[in-house]
Order: sequence, then structure tokens, then C-alpha cells
Amino acid sequence: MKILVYGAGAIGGYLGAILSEAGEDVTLVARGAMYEAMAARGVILESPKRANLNPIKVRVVKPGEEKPPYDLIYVTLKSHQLPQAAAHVKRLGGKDAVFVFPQNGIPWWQFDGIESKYKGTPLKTLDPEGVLARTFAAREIIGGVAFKPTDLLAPAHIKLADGAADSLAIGEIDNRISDRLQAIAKISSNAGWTGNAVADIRKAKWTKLLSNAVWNTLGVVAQATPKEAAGFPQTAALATAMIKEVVALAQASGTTLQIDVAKMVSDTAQRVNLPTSTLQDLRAGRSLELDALINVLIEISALTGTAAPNLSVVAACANFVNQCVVAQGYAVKPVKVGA
Amino acid sequence: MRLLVYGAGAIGGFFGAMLTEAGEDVTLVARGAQYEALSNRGIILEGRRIKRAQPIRVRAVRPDEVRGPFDLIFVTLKAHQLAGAAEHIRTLGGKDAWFVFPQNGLPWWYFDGIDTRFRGAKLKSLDPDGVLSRTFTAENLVCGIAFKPSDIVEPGRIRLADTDADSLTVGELDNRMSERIQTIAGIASNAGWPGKAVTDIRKAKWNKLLSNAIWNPLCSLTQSNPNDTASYAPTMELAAQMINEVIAVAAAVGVTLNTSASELIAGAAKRAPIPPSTLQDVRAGRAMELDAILNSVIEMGQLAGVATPSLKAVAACANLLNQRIIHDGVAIQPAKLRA
Repeated sequence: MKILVYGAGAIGGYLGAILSEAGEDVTLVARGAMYEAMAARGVILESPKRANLNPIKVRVVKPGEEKPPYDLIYVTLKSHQLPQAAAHVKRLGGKDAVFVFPQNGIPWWQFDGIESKYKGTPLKTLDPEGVLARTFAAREIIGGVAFKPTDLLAPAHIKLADGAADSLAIGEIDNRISDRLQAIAKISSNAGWTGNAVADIRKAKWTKLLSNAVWNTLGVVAQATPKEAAGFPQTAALATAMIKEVVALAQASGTTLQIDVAKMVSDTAQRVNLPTSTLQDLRAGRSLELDALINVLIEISALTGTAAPNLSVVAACANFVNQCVVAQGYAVKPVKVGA
Repeated sequence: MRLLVYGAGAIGGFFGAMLTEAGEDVTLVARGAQYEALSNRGIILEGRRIKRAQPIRVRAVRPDEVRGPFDLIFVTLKAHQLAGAAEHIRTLGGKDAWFVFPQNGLPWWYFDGIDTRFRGAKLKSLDPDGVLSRTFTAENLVCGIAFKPSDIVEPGRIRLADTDADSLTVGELDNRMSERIQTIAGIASNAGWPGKAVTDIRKAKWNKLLSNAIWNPLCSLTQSNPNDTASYAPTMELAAQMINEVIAVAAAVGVTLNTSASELIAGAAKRAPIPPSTLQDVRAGRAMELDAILNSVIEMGQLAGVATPSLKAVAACANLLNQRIIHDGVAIQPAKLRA
């Protein structure tokens, strides 16, 4: 089976490296400094479980230099990069190719593939021109949720944390546990990243979003880590209200989440003190992944008539930072005073 | 008459320089780099209407060097600095001295001096230990409001914007049109900053607060100037909700504000691009003046039974940001990445 990993950020680089190590016929697509580093020395994975830092050799190509057709394509771009890359990515797949989309947040096909009150409703925040919906047919799509704390220390040098929840959850958009789903889950399991074939991928996505929608957005507005925001009484209360709004939006969209909100917040206050990927993006001046994390929730709030006042407040501030500060070429970062 | 300006931030420096130039017997209390610049070189004022080629020489002293008694003391500290300095400041005035407090936000004496159903109620966010109430009596206290957009470009160099509203507004706690407030207004006018003696200083405070409670926290969270935040649809909508909440709290404590969210937002969109003082503090790593301009409004809303959900959500984020700045000893600054 010919496998392609399209996009070599932290998750794509990690997946490409372990698939290569497991002997799969896999190619990574990367560009810029990432491509150079991978082509020159391979991918370095740094983790408590790995004894050494020897680079893992990978087959890497620049966009446009792929050798299609591929049978299985992991699209490891950020959500907001998908529409622009869609047509090219689609051409890389063969006749029965499968595309796995493990982006954070709600997917553009949220209301496709299953019966619901909102069946067929497009989400403009995620697929403004309808490009994604036109390009990928429902049968070609596998939804994914990546659970693996990763941090890109340098191009193709990825730091991994090991958590009990580490897994790549995947699901069909019509919720069937298909043969191909189980076969794909086995591929990542064989490579050392537990593959979970699930019958409700939307629920898995909403569950991860509960965390991302709240801590990632609060963090960029208040310059704080999840631990800090959860440990500060006023933002703990705000986060609690936001989480309840996400739960209500999930419910209105057809997904019931059983969550102990108070426990979720107090557990977060005990977490390792690390900035979210969105705060890392702000500090590096990279575009913030807000559409799939929170803006789509505001759209679903309007669509379903479900109130989300606290999400709206934080979204307004975070979007301003993204569109009027980062987009103007600024990073925002802490500078030690009086040092 | 011996005048003292206690605190040489942008407003204190501006006013001290103007009074000096007008020939008043005035001393400025400053510290750190500001003191050094004031005593070595003087104050440079930069504005369209007020522009001096030469620095204005002022009499500057450090806090521990100042010798009273003074007759008229302008306390130009931030609201949250008052409690720590109150007792020292009181020793600098004689028995009949007048202390003018032109801080932004709601004052600790809000429910003193007039008849209201909240008479005598204390706001914890303004005078947590009661030290201000104990130190200054109604006889010594003159309420003020500073209208003059200004910021410190570097120590001793103050940038000014000119607006039609420029004034030092003063009033009595009990709303009398006393001789002393007219005298104080005359001193300011004579120095080139129009002085206005008013008989409803609380209403004037609310009117200024309609700007400070909104743009200071919003701009601090988004690293922006009010003219930008007031021109971006999501933050405009948020600002409108916040303004309506402030208007509702004011109404509940008996002050009718004859303005509207759309009028205020349109006004803010046309302002000169100057960062509000709170954002200046964020970028300099100083504590943010949130108690007087925001937390006290929420507290007053609770007292009067008015819901303030948007103010609360914004305050939660802003208070966390403030905690990060103080706790980590950092300034939060934009950094230009690309030309």
C-alpha cells in the first residue's frame, strides 16, 4: 500500500517517521526548512520512550514532486490550510484512495453522512467556497483525532510527550466500523501509535474540542497556559461557562457529551505548565487556528439557535489578535522586565 | 499657593509642566527614570497645539524628599497605587489642604456625600482595607477627571493629542458648586488646560468610564488602539454589549447617561491612534488599572442587581493577564516580524 503523509508539522513529521521506521511504503510532503532538514538528515524524535536521538530516514518530497497515485493519504495540514491545498491533494490519490483528516476542531463534513436535523448544511467558517465539499466525496474521507502531545523544537526535530491517551482515533463519516477503518487503525498501531477505529468520530472531535476551544483561545487573549487559566478563579469560572456552551452546541448538533465540567477544570489546573499550540503560534507570529477551534462554534450557535455568549466574547478578542495583529506581521510575546 | 503634583506619569507630567510654565509655585513628585529625566532635562511636551522646542524645567523631587505642607495637591497616581501612598500623601498637606483625585474609573467615595439607597456602601475593589476612607475626609477631598489623551514616549517626553473634550473637570462629593472647585478650575484654565467645575462629578466619571471600562481592557487583551478595536465587527459588537451593561449599572445607581453604544463606538473609531493607558502599562510590564475602571463596575452591578456578563468575561481575561504580568515580571509586547 502506497502511503502519503501530506504536511510535515509536528504530527505529520511524527507519523511519517514512525511509519517509515515500521517499514511502510511511505512518502512525506514537506517544504522549506522542514524539507531541507528531512532530506538532509531525517526526522529526530525526542521522547522519554526512545533511547537515542538518531534521525529516522524518511522519503520526503516537495509539493509537486509526489509520485501518485497513493492509496492512503494522511492530510496533516492545519484546518485553515485545507481549502487551498484540496485540489492538489485530491489529485495525489488513486481511484479508491482514502484521505484521513486528523485536524483539530469541527470538520467541514460535520453535517454530512449521517441523519440529522441539519443534514447537508455546509459550515462556511471551515469551507468558505465549498471547495472541500466539492473535492472530497464522503466515501473518500476518514475523520481523525490525533492524541499525541508534540512540539516542533527545530525543523524535523520533534519533541514528544507520552500520555495514557496517546492514539490516533479514526472514524467513517457515516459511523460504520468498516474493514478499511480497521485496516488503517492497524497501520498506525503497528507503527507504535495506537489506532482506534471508532463508531462516533464526531464525538471524539467534540471531546477534544472541549479543551481546545477553551484553553487555546483564553490563552492567547490572557497570555496564559491552560494550567494558569484554570488556576485563576475568574478565568476558571469563565472556562466553566465556555465548556458548558460547547457541550450545549454539541448537543444541538446531535452529539451528547458526558463531561464532569468542574473536574475537567480542576484537572487542568494540575496539568503540566505548557503553552497551547495556539499561544505558541501567537508568540511566533504564526496565524492562529481559530476557525476550526472556535469560530465554527459561533456559526453553529447561530445555525442551531444555541446561545454561546462567553465563547463569543473570547472569540471576538482572539480573532482581533489574529486578523489585526498577527496578520499585520506581529508576534505578541512576554518580555522580562528589569532583567 | 503651594502646589504639589504627586505622581509624574503622562497626566502628572503634562499638568506639572503646564503649571510650571504658567508661573505657579509647583513641585512634582517622581521616581526612577522619570525623576532622572525631569531633574536633568525637564519635560518635553509633544502635541499639535502644545509644542515646545525646549524642555520645560520643573521642580522635581523624589517621594522621600518632598517636604510639605502644600495647599493644593493633585494626586496623579493610578487608582490602584492610592492605598499604598495615601498616608504619606496626607502628611504633605496642612489641615485645610485640598487633595484633587483625577483617577480614572469609579472612586472609593462613590456612595458617600449624597443621598442614595446605597449610602455608605463600600466597594471592596476600590478601597479594600478602608485606608482611603480613613485618610481623606470630605473636607479635604476634591474629585477630578482628566481629559487629555497622553502617553509617555520616553522618560520626560510626553505625547499629547488634542480633543474638544480636553479638560480637568472637578467637583465636590456633595455636588455643591463651591468656591474651591472654581478656584482649582481657574488654576488649570490659566495653565492652558481648561478647568471645569461641575455639580455632578459622578455622572462625569461615568461618562469617562464609558470609554475606559471598554477600550482599556479590550485594547490590552488585543494589543490594539481604540480606533482599531472600534472598527472591527466582532469587537464592535462586544464593545456595544459592554457599553450597554455599563449604562445599565449607572442607571441602577441613579445616573442616566444620555448616549448610546453606536455613538460611542463611532466616536472611538475616529480617535487618534494612541494606546490607552492600560495597554501602555501592559507593554511596560506595569500593573493594570483594572479595579477602578472595570472590577468596580462589576461589583457595583452585583450590589444593584444588574447582570454584567460581557464585562465579567472580559474582566476575567484582563485580570488573568494582569496577574501574569505581575507574577512573571513580564511586559507583553508586539514584535514586528516582517517589514
